[in-house]
Amino acid sequence: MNRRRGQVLAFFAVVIPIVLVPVAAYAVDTAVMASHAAGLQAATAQAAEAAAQQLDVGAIRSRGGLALDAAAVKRAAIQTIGRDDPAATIDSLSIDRVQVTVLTSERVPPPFALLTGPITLHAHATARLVAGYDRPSSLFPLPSSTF
Amino acid sequence: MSRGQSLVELAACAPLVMVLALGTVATVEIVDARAGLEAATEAAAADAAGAPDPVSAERTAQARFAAVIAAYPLRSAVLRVTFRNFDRTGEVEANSSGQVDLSWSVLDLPGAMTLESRVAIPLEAWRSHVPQQ
Repeated sequence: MNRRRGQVLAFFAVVIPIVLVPVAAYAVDTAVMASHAAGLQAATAQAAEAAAQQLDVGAIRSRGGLALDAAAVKRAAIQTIGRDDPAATIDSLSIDRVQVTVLTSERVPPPFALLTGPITLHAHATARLVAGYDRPSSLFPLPSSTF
Repeated sequence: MSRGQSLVELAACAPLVMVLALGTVATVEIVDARAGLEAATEAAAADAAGAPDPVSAERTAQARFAAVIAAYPLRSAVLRVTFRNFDRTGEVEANSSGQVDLSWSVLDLPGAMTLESRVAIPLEAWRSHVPQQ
């Protein structure tokens, strides 16, 4: 009977550090990483939207069609990512006529990092410049009563 | 001598296991709530940035904030929207706060934790706009 003494204590002494603590750490790591991923995705979407608004006014005046100002697109994307998620980097920024695709990544170390080292998160977003409005634009030189 | 020994040992270990489990759940809930508050604030600010005037911007932001925050474990969530020059050079600032209920955890934690979020983004230059007469 004496050999059974302390069996439960021994069980927990083994199970807590080997199973329960890693599982708890993994749960917290997962939640934190999901939060970072959501933040990165939101920042990427915001960057794509800001970039897709960089209308090339000169192209409209000269050719009459919608086009994006490539330099302004790049500037807007970098500025937005830098503001919304400073730790993220833009891996790729492509412009296809009036469509902007932004790919970003961010290397995030999990808070506990018991099972894995820093993880690289990726996000991508696409935004498109379209013509049209619900009401007359503020940039239109005529008063709304004209329409 | 060993009668009830296992029970005593279990009683000694159970609090540690409970603290571990409840602490994990509380931490995950706080992280989830923080992510939700930030997402809702960003969504509200983005909607406000595309609105034609300050009144509809405030209304749209509050509606979007309420819709997003409903999916997260937050109570008494409040959004305050302010504008700096409601024109093409302007900026919308959204400040929000909410409380995570931790009273269920029976740990030595505060009953509720207050979280805050702040987002400032420029107003959309090409948004539809009703010119002020």
